[in-house]
Amino acid sequence: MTSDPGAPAGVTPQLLGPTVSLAPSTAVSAVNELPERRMHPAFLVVSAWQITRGLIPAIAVFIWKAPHWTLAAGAGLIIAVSITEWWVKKYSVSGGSLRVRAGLFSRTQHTIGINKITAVDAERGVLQRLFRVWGVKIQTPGDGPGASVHLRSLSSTALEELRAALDVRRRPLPGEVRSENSPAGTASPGQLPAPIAPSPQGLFSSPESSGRSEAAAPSGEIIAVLGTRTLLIAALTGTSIPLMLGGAGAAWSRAHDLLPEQTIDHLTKRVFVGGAVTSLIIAAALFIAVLAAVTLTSLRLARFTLSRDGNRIRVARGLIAQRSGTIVVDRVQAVRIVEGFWRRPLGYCALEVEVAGLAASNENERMLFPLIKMRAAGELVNQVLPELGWQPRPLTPVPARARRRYLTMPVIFAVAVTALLVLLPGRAALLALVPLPVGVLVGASQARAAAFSLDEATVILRWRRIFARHTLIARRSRVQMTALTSTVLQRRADLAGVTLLLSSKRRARIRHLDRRDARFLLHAVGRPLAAGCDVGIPGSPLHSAGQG
Amino acid sequence: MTNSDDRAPAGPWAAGDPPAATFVSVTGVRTLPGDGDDRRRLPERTARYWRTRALLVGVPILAAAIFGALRFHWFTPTVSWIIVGVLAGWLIVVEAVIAPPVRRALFWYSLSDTEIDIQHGWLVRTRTVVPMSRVQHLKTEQGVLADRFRVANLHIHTAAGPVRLAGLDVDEAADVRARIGALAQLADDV
Repeated sequence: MTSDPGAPAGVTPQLLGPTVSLAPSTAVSAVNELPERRMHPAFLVVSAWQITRGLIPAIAVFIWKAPHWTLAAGAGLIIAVSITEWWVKKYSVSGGSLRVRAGLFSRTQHTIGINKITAVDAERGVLQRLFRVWGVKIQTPGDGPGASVHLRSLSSTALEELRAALDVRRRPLPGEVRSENSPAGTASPGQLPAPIAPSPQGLFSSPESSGRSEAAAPSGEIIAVLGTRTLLIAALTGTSIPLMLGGAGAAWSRAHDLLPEQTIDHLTKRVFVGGAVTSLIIAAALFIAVLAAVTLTSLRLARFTLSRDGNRIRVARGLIAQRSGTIVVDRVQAVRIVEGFWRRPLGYCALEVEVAGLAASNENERMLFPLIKMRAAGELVNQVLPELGWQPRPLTPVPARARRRYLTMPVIFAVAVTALLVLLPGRAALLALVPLPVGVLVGASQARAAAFSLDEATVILRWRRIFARHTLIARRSRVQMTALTSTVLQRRADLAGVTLLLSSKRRARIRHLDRRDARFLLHAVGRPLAAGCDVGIPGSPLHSAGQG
Repeated sequence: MTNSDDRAPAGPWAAGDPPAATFVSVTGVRTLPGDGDDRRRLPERTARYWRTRALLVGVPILAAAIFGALRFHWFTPTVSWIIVGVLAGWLIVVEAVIAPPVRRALFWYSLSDTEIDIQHGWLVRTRTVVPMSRVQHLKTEQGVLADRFRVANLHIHTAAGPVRLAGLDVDEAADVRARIGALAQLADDV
């Protein structure tokens, strides 16, 4: 639609808005400290708008009935809350931690060790763009979304300084032991302490990698940009259209409660009379859904740019509301390939990263690349994340005797649904014929999809949910927990299931595979290998229990 | 049904019981702590604790259901009593009578310097391996009833979520907690 195919060169300046001025001298003299400060005053407007936006449903309901003074009082309250929050919320970087103080009556102080920060996301909506500020989210591997810090309005300069202060600390502190599997090669450029330099490229060459930002060339190597055609395919095969049609259906059924009776009467008797008119209306609704999906997806994903900058991966996207995310390479636990229902026949997939603290619920935050040809996925992943050490190769399918068992659960579920549908009156009972074939199809395709592979660097699990097929390529030694599950029936057939749990709080699971393979995965995933192996701990005894 | 309790053969893995698949290019897989004989189990009173707990929950619910079946006529009497029967079967027979000893018999855990190896579950038996370096924090939990039976639940938290060691002896829980706490160096690579 509106995406610029020749984006790489064009993206950067447009995204960045104003050229960023010199960082204040305080930051240069003490790079790793940031004195306590408030956010940009644009916070007042941004926050007031965001609160209002959150209240829109309530406002829509009450605006008809509530007296006007309540609206005025509400507006006053929102303004007061914004001013108070701006006044009390201060952030600083000192002593190796980011500190955020907030709260008027119950004062809170959020302290996050810089070493624990997994990602710094900057984003801005229309309003923030107008005021030339960024909203910044600090991600940590905490328990749930509440663990991250959200600063709604920082000027570009302040953002750069914050990123610099957070980044410089990434070098190992004295006495700190780097994890044994952090790739040494990538550690150097981004981790060198360096003074902040004026940065003509603004955010793209932001001081995350301050060591290189003086260079005139773009600091990050742009690896992939989403083209217009792919964007369109992403819009058409994504979840937006089904969601919108579902929403329209729900709205129609709710309309009976909300619209006046006459209108409903008119609609059911005059408009939806069946035949050509109804089909035309449905076709129009479909067309509108498609149009809306394309528009929304374009706003969200247009100019999607994936780049690599030292030990960072950067993702920037969005047409009007802009977002840019930074992911520390060393924090990436795994890459997930998702082949959606409509995308798989077309040979497309989406790429996601598994990083601790990146909201498991938010598809956008963990997106590495929204749509790519399946056959190009391996190359892209290896280009952006060579540290993963993924060698695409055929996976080992589950044995034939395991396949039958994939039918069990879908068929049981289908039988239950069938039993309910049979009770429907009249011809509707014919719907009971649907669930069983669907269940069998789902089970069979789940069995076909289930496969795995293991080598020294990675463990790969592939499985299918109901619609989409997922492939997880995880760093073998980084899996947080491994579990082997089995029921009585599985034990009788010498089968077992395997579940891998990642620090992103997401999991990968193969429900039935040969028990010996499951056991082997349990023994080989997530642990260092014994002596003599490249990933193992040198000199480690074979059986370390009970030894110092 | 070979090796049904998932022990690995002693010594390097590849020497004994190779995996069925031919993909394996990994060598040097070590045995897990639970592969040896050092499997620690729960004290006998844990089963009694679980049983008491199940009865404390089950009996009032069942009583309420019986009362409802006698007093209210939401369903036909047959349906009401079937519901009561199912509840009695599940809450009393299964949860209080059958499950506690079986769960205790199947549960074990084993610690080494590098891993925590746990088998738990009953209908679905699960063996979980937690590398020691992934442990983020530990939490012991002990209610009034657990206190009477001198048992405690230990929650081992990793970045991926918690694992429970339920029904440990109180002193043993303190031991395990101290040992894991000492062994789990907070690795900076989540």
